Amino acid sequence: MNTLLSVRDLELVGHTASGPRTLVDGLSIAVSEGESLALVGESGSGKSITALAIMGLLPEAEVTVGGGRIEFSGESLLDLSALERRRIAGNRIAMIFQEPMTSLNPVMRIGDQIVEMIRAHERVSLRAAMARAAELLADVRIPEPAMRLRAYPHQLSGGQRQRVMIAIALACRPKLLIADEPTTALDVTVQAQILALLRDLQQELAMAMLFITHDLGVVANIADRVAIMYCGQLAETGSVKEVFRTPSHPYTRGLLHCVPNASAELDELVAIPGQLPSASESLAACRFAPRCPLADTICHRTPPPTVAVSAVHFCHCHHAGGVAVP
Amino acid sequence: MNQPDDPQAPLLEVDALTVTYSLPSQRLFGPARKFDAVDRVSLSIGQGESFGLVGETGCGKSSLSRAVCGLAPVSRGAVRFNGTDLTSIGRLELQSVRRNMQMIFQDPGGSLNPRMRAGGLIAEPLEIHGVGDCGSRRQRVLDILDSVGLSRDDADRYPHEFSGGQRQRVAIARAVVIEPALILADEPVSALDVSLQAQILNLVAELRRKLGLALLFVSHDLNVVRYLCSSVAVMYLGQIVEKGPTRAVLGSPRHPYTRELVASSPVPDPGRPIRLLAPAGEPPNPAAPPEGCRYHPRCPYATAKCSVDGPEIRHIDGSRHVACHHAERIAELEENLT
Repeated sequence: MNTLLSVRDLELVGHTASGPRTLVDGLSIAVSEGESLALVGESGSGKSITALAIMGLLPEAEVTVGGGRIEFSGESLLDLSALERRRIAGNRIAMIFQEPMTSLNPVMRIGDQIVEMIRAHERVSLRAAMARAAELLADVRIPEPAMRLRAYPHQLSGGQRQRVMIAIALACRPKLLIADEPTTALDVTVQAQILALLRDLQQELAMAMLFITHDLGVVANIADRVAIMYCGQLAETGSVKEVFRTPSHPYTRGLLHCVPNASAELDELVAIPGQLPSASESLAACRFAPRCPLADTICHRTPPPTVAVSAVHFCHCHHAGGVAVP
Repeated sequence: MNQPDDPQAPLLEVDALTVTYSLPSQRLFGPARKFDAVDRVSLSIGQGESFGLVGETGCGKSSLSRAVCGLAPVSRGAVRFNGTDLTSIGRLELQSVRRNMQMIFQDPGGSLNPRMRAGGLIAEPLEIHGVGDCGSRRQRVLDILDSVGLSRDDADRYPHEFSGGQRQRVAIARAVVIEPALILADEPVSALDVSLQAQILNLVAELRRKLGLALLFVSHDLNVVRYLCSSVAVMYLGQIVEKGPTRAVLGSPRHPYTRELVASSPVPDPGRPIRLLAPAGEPPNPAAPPEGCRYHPRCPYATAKCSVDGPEIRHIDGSRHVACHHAERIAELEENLT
């Protein structure tokens, strides 16, 4: 399959009152056409800021790109002008966010919001755009779409608002959908519906998806491949099946064991000791070293190598075993 | 602590409790509207028992736990704690009962006074209830800091100097410092990162064993309840639809809503995907619940009876209670459907 999105050695630097700080450190991920990749991490792992960098939505006063490349369909996004990037963002790459209420305009009817998106990228008449909007609402399984076009966001439930967000994102038939924790604010039964909807739409439209989440349960249900981040570094990437069956990075293993699991009735959860480093702490070469049970001096000094666990499974750890990839 | 005469008697008994909120009227000078967030709910928690209360947004689980400690308006029913009905006693008496009943909230940032140091925050319950003198309180605070995994130096720090997980530890220390008989915990780990959740859950489980605390644990996360609680009640639109031993209720649910909840909870195992059992849609507005069984508009097994006759919660098997007309045949009905 062709690579649609490729992020290589991306470095993002945050500018705070206490000086510059590396937020994302040498991140490399790739999404093939039609594939669903989950980007997993806790708060501060850099997963959302990576998504914003791909969309060209970084708050420039606070975060800048320190290095690396982002390529979409072979085009280097970081070399484009702001105007050229806007042609791509929203059109060929679309994004949905966690809280639909804050990303929808509260004083605009949802039909107008979908039309706005369509007409920003295509020259079509208002009437044609409105008809497309109704079709889009039907696509995201909103009942009585023609009537719903006239509703305001506050008249919809949380799940329906997220469906509207998805409809807006799909308005220009993007090749890639970036979904940043789209179900985190929803109840589980509604989350299940939205996940099923995204899965269906992704297949119907042969669209690739970059799904950002902290929930490994959601990953197991939505993604073909998974990339796990810790404090701006990639810890492990691979097919969901392999990473969940044979996790190779100590952080991945920790994450899988510290979630109470329906099948394993444990007396005690195996918690990852310590806590995420605070914004002022200096970072070890391997970010996870201070909390890692396997860490030794090399982990604090030398950045971890990329190790191939299998052809579709890579781990970034000094102690993972396997074959180092140059 | 005043021990009940009968050691078998439940510590907390909630009896047909109804919590009613007033909503603003729709017209100026119009009649005030009422809304039962919790509707005739009964449950009991034994000494040292851990009881989970699960459900989705707006199901009334938080209102129920708040009503237990007098923080939500009770319109009917009773809350008996060690045999005393809390809804019929005065403020002063209630305060002395509350010594044995402490709360932990979801957001420790909002429930800890930002201008007090951790040591002062933890000592506050001791002061309010007049436990010990200044010196013994200080010692008690230092001891409890150890047992919640904070260092003794942390006593002098302010809430903003702690991370989210540490703040929740302070909140827990504050709740257990006077050794209550019951802890009411409302989503205490939902705001924390996954790797910290496990630490806090282990801490709660450990303190519970060590101090013999009973726990009413409110959560939307079935996996957490499965780990922490021996009994569980599932709420839907203000009512308990199923309650009993956790293993039975979440392992082989008998109420269609519990089945939907279990099937749609994601597990980190690609071999066990979530399943959609109910038709697309969301729970209706809790302020205007449907007639009959409240779940019937979403229930795939609903019959004509369900839309007129709301089922009472009844005993099914073991110590499980279910509020469904079809509870006995639910597995069979589900099989026919798929």
